[in-house]
Amino acid sequence: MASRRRRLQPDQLPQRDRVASRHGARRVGPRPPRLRRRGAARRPVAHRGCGALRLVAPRGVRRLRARRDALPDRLSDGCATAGLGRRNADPARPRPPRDRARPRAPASRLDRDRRAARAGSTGYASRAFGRMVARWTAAVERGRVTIDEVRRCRVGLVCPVWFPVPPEAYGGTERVVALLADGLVDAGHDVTLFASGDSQTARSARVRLPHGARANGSGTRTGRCSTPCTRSSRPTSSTSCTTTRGCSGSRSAGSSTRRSVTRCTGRSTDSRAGCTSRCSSSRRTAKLISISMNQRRPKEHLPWIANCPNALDLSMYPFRRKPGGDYSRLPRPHEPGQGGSSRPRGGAGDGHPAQDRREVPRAARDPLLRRVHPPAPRRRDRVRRRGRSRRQGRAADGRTRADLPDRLGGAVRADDDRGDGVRDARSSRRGAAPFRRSSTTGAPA
Amino acid sequence: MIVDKYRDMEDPAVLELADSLDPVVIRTEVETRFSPENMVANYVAAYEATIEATA
Repeated sequence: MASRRRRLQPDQLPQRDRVASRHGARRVGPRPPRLRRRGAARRPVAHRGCGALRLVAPRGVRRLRARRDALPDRLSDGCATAGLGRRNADPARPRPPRDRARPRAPASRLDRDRRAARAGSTGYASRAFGRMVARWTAAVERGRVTIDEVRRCRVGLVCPVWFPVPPEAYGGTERVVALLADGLVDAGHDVTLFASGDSQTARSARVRLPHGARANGSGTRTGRCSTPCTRSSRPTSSTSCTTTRGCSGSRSAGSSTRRSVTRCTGRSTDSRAGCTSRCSSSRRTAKLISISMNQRRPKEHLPWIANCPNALDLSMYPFRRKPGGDYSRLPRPHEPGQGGSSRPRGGAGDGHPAQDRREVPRAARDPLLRRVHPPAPRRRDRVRRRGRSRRQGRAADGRTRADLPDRLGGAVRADDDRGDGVRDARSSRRGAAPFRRSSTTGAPA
Repeated sequence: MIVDKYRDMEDPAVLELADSLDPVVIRTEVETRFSPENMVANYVAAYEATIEATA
């Protein structure tokens, strides 16, 4: 008979016929020690080896199951349980009316998050985000971080690498990105700027890419942006997408205890609609931000969530406090002699940045343009080339190229004094005199 | 001060009407609507809305 301390009472067990007496601890004896790994801690010899056989019901003895008949007494008919007043019972008493709910005190989001975290249900669709909220709550309660630090976002701005941020003598996407980066830093957010390495920000935004492609002329041009979407993300996994300049792209700023939001800009020309489509289809939860309502028209079905017009650095745009004066004249599209340019042209020296840039030749400013349009050959080489073409360019009837009528007329000769096929900007702008009028008479000058 | 056609911008009457505008008021309006602070606030609000929508 086994000892009472081990709760073994083989005499009363129904399995006594199945448990032989030799299975007892006294007969079996301690288990031989196992081979241990070298350096492994020596376990104390537990009572596993020398203990008694573990039974099915260690805390008690089960009774024998009652002998059952082949058929049960009652068969379920799918209705209410018999014997509980199926038909003769009175209807249930109506519940007493509950007290009218008192108006709840306005709770902050942090309180709601704290209650949700304590209740075990965060109330968010993502459990990971709920756990993160719980961590934030605990960190705030312990005083490790402040609420402002929790609210602070990690923002990644991905910008095209053709120009530094802010650009020199160029106002476009890069300048808007520079304004946004500085503004976000001033607002207390952690900003990482993915732009060319020669980018400089006025604030403490970090730059994470090598030099600009156009700035040093060594970059490769691609037809589309390398990062096709912009997305604002949670710390764990980025899911949201926001677009500001058409084709935009960004990457998650990594995981941390704070929220991460990324936004970037890219080319905003012809591939705008396609990039926004890729941007929105890449992630289910992608959201888009437009810079104007017209941007939404080609793709109104995309998940637009906001409209944020671009900002202007108004310090670059002086103005005259008194009304009247000269006006800048916008050339008509495809206007002959205008070059079809939509760039506003005003009076020279009026302080407009676009006018001041004209003083510097464009090819001298842009290294990439200098590569596309190489400098004109020297005059001696040009004369030699013309002479060769005249000797070789003889028609079948004996006429030389000089005798043939010039289709292009004197326009090219007059404008293309360099001979490289590029009209001189000064000559092509000859018929685009700015529209000036007197502020007193109102008649065009 | 919105014309229907592009050529209407060269109409002297329209230019006379443009003279009646106060540049200071226009400048203030542009500074209010297109200031970097306003843009940053709009972007932060959009980011918050995006995070809330995807959470």
